[in-house]
Amino acid sequence: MHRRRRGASQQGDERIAFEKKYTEDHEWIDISSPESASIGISTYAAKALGDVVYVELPTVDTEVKKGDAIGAVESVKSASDIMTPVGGTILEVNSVLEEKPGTINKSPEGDGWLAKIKVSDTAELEGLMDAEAYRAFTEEVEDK
Amino acid sequence: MPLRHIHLPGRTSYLHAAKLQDRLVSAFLAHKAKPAQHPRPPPTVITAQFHPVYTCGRREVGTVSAEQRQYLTQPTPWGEAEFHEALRGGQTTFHGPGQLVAYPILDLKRYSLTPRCWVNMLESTVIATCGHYGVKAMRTENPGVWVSDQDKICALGVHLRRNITSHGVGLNVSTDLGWFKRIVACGLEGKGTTTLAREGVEPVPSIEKIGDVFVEKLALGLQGVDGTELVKNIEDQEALEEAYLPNADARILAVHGMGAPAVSAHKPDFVHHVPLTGEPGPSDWHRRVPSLGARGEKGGIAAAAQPVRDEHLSPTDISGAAAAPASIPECEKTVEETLETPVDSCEGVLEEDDGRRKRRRSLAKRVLNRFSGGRPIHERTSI
Repeated sequence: MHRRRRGASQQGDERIAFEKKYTEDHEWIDISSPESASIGISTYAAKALGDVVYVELPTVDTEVKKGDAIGAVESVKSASDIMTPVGGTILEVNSVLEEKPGTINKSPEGDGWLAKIKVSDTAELEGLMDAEAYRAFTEEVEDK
Repeated sequence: MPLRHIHLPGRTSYLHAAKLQDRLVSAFLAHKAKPAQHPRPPPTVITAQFHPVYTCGRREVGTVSAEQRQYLTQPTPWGEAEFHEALRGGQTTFHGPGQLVAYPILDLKRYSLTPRCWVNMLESTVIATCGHYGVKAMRTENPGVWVSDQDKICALGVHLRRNITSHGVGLNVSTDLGWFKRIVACGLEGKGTTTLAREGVEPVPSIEKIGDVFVEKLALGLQGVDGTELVKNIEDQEALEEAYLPNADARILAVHGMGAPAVSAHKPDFVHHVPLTGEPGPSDWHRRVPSLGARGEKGGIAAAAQPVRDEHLSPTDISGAAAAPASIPECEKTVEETLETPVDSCEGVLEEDDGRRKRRRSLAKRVLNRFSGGRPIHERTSI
């Protein structure tokens, strides 16, 4: 029987985890590949906004710093800015949202992604909340 | 903490009010970014009466053609208007003499309000203000405040950055309706505009006075706010500006934008027409918002959509309420949200990713939670 040596498993398989991190402003970023990380708004945020009628997307190749506005999501007469969780360069935008802004409501953390960014400084990802921490954060916000 | 009210006397230019608004928002953002270094500004409402100006909302930025601008700014029997682009939601509208413009600037997180609840609250406040003058106003399937299915008395458009609100409402008191007839206001074909004066209010209140009423009603709906505080003197206003501006992070100012954010103008194949009188073409409103009752689109939605009437009272609905509610007014309506429900009803049900339903907890439930030792809801035998 082929037994794995301890050494090998300690070094660990580099399993690429599909992992989202969240900001306090309810944006998410998929950090599984910092070369092309998707950004969007969380389910919580999508619910809070209501039916999205319009999405403003950034331009490809724009360089942004953490916290810069990269677009907006509009619903019921309120246009809400979206800030980028990390600095980097915008690689791609989800143009489906221009015709079908409602995709954000149907799948805010999946098909409703807004843009893909090439992360310039992966250290900035450290300060973001993981899914569990974000869940606790939103519950805390509700209980106030 | 009182709700601060800055009234800009006489008539103001749109840009001046926009600048003051931007400064206040920047101060809020600076506090959010570095709470230790920047004091939190008090919640503030700016009220004003503008020189004639047409403004368009976010979706239209970069798409209004030179011809359209020329049309909007040319001489008319009522005067000459300016044209400005704004980052607020909503489409083209008019502001001018005889209209109360109110811009509440505050942090929604402090009051546990979602953007929808905020819009709902603004509408409630306007309805209450109209009620104060004996005009029965209401909501319909389209946002804003209406006196009938046809006639809109107040337009609404809000901008949010990190939950800090800006822009707000434009309530017609004695506005010259000719200005509105030149555009399809808010992109709504076939709808009209009205004013308090046209609805029979006599004597017509001054903008300052009706601004007071609006701010008072708004203060009633905000948890933790007691009373209002009027800033009247020009000197006081300038002092306020000074107090709020200097320490704000320059980058925050630049990013928030006395101007547009770091995004592009729209691509050419995405042109949206600002509908002008006499121009044929679909109303952009109907094309983009099938879920809000566009005629004939998506079948069942249009048929089932019902206007949200007064009976959809949320705890934040203060139309007719004389006193502040005793319990904390949380946005807690239990209206099930389906596609048929008009968007501007606030509902308190959140769905987690995995399908668990989690209700926003009411005050009563929080109390019970404490008594039951904090066990999760699904483990308790009874609630």
